[in-house]
Amino acid sequence: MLEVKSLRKEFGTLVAVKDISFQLMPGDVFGFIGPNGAGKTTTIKMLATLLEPTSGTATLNGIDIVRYPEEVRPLLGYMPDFFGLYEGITVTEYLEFFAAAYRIPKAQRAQIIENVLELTDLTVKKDAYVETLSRGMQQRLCLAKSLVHDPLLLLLDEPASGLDPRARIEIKELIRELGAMGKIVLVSSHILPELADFCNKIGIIEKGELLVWGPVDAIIAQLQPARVLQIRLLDNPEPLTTYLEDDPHITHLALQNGYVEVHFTGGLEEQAELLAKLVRDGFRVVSLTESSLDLEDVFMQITRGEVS
Amino acid sequence: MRRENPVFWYHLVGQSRYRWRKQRALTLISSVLITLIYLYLLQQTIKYEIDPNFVQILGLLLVCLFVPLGCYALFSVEYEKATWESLAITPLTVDEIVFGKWFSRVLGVLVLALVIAPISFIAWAQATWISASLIDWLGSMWLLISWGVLLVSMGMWISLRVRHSIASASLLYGIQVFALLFLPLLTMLLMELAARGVRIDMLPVEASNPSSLDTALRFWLTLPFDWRCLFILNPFIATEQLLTQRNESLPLLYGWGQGFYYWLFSGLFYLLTRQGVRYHWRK
Repeated sequence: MLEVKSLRKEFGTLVAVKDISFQLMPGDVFGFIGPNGAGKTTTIKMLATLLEPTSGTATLNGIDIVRYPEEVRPLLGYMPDFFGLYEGITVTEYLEFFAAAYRIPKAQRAQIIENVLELTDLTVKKDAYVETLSRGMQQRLCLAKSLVHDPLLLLLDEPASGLDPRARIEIKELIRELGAMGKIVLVSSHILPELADFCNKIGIIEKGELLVWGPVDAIIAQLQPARVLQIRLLDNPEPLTTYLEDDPHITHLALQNGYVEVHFTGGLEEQAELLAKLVRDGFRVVSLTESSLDLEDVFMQITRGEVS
Repeated sequence: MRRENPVFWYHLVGQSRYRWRKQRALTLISSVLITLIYLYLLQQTIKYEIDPNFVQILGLLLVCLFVPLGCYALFSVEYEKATWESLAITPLTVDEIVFGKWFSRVLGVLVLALVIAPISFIAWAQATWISASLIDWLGSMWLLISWGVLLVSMGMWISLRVRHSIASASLLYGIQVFALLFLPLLTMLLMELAARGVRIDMLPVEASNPSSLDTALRFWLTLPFDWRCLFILNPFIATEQLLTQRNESLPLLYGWGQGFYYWLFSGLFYLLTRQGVRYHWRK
């Protein structure tokens, strides 16, 4: 379990990260969302033991990351946003280097390397020189390197930046798989649709402050107490707006591009009744669909577009 | 259990293995050519009784030119290629990282010294006109190796501090030119002007008995506080004095003492690097 308590980082007078706290369990894929300069990378670097926090603490499986960085390091894998690879060696040699650095016994290395190559879909490139790999493959190799010692916590800082659509999809699938393997995955990004697909929890950071964090559904439910229904008619929808004004379950009503959007506080039963009533009263309903908030809506509602 | 040090092995064989695999023909041809040139030099040394002083100075020049090439980017390349974070979060200790890089380059200095040694030894053995003993010749080799080690340690520290390979290389060569050439020349010029024609003794040793233990001890201990250390600790001047002057005019352990100082400075730079990595990489 990763437990972050009041983590703070100051650079002189600049407060890059303001007392952030959150907890993650094995299997959680946590999307760390925020605009550029919000404090995502600083937080990740503190969790990766590369930056000492000004105050606060974080524990991984009960081990204090701040006080015992050496004990925590074998438990974490880190992929920086701007990473490099040792050149002049093959993919296998590169992984052997890190396997040796993580003190994996020689006898086990070949099997482990084979497994991570398979997981990251790099088996065909095992004898290629690292500098000859495409950007996407290098990204996967960096991830493979972070996995050789089977870490509990994976810190991925903008893992899909600069990748083509295919490589993005591959990385997303890989992250989802890692979550399913029981690892705690913390992924930072400012590309929201990318995170929406595989994160079960999110945290939104702005100006160094963690504005909200928790399961995606819970945050959406918190931001959207009423469900949004879109009713499309075959005829002019204007009379419908007048008709629905008095409905006790409707809190907000708007006419948009040929359909009526309502904020509906009732349950499914009430929704079914509303549809039946409309049909009964002569409205020729083409569709009644429910639209929910996506991560972009959540992000826009919560943030103000400020950086620390 | 003995721990494997991947940093050492990567720095020791990484690039040469790469050259061998990618440019096998070129590597073979250049190796054969270098060997042939070397054997020719060896043969010429035997045939023409080359001055050992010349050979040793040439060897030192090679050390000054080639050793920085191996160490100017030891740490800066980690920053330039953004690999340091990946290395920093491994369980490798600060000593494994610093020693691994340092020792791989020190082995390079030893290889260079081994290449120079046979030619230098033959030249010394054949030179009947000089009074330098075997100990003196060994002292000159010790001086050469120690200077190389100092360059490695200094290069490693500079590359960590400046984090930029070109700046690091420029500094390393610049410091050598300044300390070995410019500073002694400037000091000599100023001293000449100040002395107004009076000869200045560059060796602060009592002329009466320079080889006595007392005098030697005083000489080596007070050396860093004497302005003449600029000359005495200069490996080129020291080598020249060691292989050309009469033994009795030089203090005891001349050559070996300078080497000791180089190792001392080297240790200092090594410790500074170690502290730097410890602090910046949170090791």
